[in-house]
Amino acid sequence: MTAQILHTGRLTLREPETGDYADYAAFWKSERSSFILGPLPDWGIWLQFSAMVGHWSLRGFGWFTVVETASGRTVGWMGLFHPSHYPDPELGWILADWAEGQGFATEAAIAIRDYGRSMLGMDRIISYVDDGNVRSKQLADRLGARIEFTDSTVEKPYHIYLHAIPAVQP
Amino acid sequence: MTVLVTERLILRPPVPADIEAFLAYSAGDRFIRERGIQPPWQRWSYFATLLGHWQLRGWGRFIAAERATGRIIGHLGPLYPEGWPEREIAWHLWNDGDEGKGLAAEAARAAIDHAFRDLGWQTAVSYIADTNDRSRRLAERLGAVADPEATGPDFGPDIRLVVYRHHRPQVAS
Repeated sequence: MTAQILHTGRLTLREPETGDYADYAAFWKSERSSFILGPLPDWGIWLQFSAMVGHWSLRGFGWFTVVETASGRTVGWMGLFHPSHYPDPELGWILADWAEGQGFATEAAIAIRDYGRSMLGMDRIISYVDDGNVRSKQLADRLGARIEFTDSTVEKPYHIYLHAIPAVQP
Repeated sequence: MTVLVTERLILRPPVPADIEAFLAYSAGDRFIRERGIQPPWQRWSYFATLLGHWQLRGWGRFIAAERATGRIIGHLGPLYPEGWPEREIAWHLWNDGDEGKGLAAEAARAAIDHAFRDLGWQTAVSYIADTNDRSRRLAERLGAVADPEATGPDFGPDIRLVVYRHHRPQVAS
């Protein structure tokens, strides 16, 4: 299988590799990970990283390391998570602190969503977002996703967003 | 690709096609006793860590299968997530019916030899829950000794680990 790379105006999305680990671990040790079950211990972060790598072997797609093409800096990790028995592929994102507020997440998410649809044939792509995660909810809105389901019965209520399906050209 | 062959078993890296067998095993009592009930996507992700470990380190836990039939009996071998206190030899048999035949010991011996001989490890431990009598007996049968000075990864207040330190085999160079 050839390596999968997506290019957008400012970003390069490529498969995660060993050298990405330090930045990845920094995110998971920080409070920024608190909406997605972090922070994690070192070994928990490494196992999560290895699962991200293994996802590519199992499915041929997965989460990308997102890099700002011009500077080579790591913007974050974003991609499609779809284990077997998981109802719909999930578009997820984590972003480095420095990369907020520049439209990077939107730019990458659109590329991943459209790649999922056109290359992988995914017609339903969802995102789980913690109700308290204001910035992620804004991103989902900006992507045109709509809340399909809200679970308020759990300790940390969350939404399932369904990503917009573009009109099919006749 | 690393493959270890013993009298009755072949130890080979996990491949994506093993996922269905793994999901069947991990839906059962043996897995649940060890890790609790987990939804399929979480067990799927656990299997993904087996593959990812090999990709990131170039080595990892093997799938052990009967040579005669190809039937998988478990996964075991070198395990070292970053942040783990020490390099570990871990083992998991998948079926009750494979207990008591010396299969786990046969596979674990091969994995331990591999770690010291091929991977150049200077020492190796196994982290075993203090309530897991069978696994502790296996460690002792392999010549490992509890090391009260060593600490394992923190799995929370409910799990107390015994750290077994393996005997380094005499390796002819």
